[in-house]
Amino acid sequence: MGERGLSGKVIYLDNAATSFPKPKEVWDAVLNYACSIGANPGRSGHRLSVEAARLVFNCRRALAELLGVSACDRIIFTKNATEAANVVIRGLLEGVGGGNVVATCLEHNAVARPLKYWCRREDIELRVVSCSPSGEVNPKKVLEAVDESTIAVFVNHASNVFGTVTPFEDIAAFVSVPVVVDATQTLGSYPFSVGDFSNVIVVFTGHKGLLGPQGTGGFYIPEGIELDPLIRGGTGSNSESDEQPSFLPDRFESGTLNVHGIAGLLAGIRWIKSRGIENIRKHELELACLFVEAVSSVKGVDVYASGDWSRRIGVVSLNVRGRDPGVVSHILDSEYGIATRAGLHCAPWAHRALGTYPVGTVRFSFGPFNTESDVEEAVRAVKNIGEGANGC
Amino acid sequence: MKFYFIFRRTVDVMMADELLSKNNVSYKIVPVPKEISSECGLCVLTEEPWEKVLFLLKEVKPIAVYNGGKGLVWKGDIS
Ligand SMILES: Cc1ncc(COP(=O)(O)O)c(C=O)c1O
Repeated sequence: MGERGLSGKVIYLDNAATSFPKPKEVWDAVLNYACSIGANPGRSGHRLSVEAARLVFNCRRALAELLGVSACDRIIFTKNATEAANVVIRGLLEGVGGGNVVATCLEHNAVARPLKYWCRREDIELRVVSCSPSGEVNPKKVLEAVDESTIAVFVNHASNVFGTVTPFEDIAAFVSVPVVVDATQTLGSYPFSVGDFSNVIVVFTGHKGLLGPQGTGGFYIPEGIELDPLIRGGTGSNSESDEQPSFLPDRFESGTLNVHGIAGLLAGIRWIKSRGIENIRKHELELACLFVEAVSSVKGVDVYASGDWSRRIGVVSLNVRGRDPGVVSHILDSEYGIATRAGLHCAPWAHRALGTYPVGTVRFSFGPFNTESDVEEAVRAVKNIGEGANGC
Repeated sequence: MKFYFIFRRTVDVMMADELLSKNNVSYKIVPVPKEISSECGLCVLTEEPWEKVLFLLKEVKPIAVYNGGKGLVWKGDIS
């Protein structure tokens, strides 16, 4: 396989970084597009180009359904959640000069860094709302930080560090400014709906819970919110004009899309639909629960997963006292064949809030293809490492 | 007779595609003929009565309908 020859079984518990494995249907769809369609969507007008445009449209439609919105033309494709967040944040903040934005302390750097940058540039106060010791953000505290000078609110729907869900609905219902929801960790594995909110913008990635290939993602922007695009160029529409189209989705989709990826993403969403999000969620949560129960009793292991399981996804962070998380993750990989992630997981604010900054945590994240036996092996490994470290 | 339905965006053409196939209309998605517009893009071509097709496509908001060689037969609001 890899250059250094990946041998032996790997138990993959890093689905929050990217889901693996993906359903076979995803790669079949990529290959089918690559081998049998292959054309540039909508640009040329021949049958293959029309077929490619159909594929992109069907994925837009599937995403709109998944988000619970009717306007599929307001789903914009980007290469990942990070690009989506950058378009949205710049679009909302550029040229504003003054005021404040409110964000939860659980924001990923995909949101936190562009926020910091644009707040500094535009002289905007950045109000970061803290969380409980188990990583829960109280929506009331977010609302308390909002005032008449607030430009927008940023909510990470589920923390990629602690797996805790922040109910954005309890925030969006009480403010009129845009609420930007980072649904990267929840789409595909936790119930989600924009519902009737006309102030909710959603950013997401395609390669995690949606089971699509890397290089896919996007955002949803409700009617009435106008943003400037990050880049301008060819859209296959209005070609006579040298002005960027004002209409969506073309306004934000200059250049050829990642149709290979979008083909796979569509197959991923269809796979999720046929399984049922509730079933996927139940499966991942059962595994996470089993894992937490077992490792919580290991001496010298701190598990950051107390709290309400109905508001969690299958992501668990822990630390072995006296051991660097990076070392623990390395031992898990090299001695037990278990793939996890160590460190700050691109969310430094969250670790500051929980006192795990700057070393971070070891993160175990479960996906639809993990089994109870994966959990048992992970528990055994954590026990061994924990007991070794604590001299029992 | 050939009728060309012109739309503002590719996504509208795709919505029309979805609607027409659901309603068993015989149609094709083709490039916009050069006589109609020099811009690259797709449109819907049908030989069925244009009024009937237009009715089905109401919510997609076509911007115009052309009758093959004879020019414009219907124009929508462009906003
Ligand atoms: C909560 C959250 N937001 C944003 C991202 C960024 O996703 P991507 O790397 O696909 O842009 C991630 C994943 O790394 C994440 O967990």
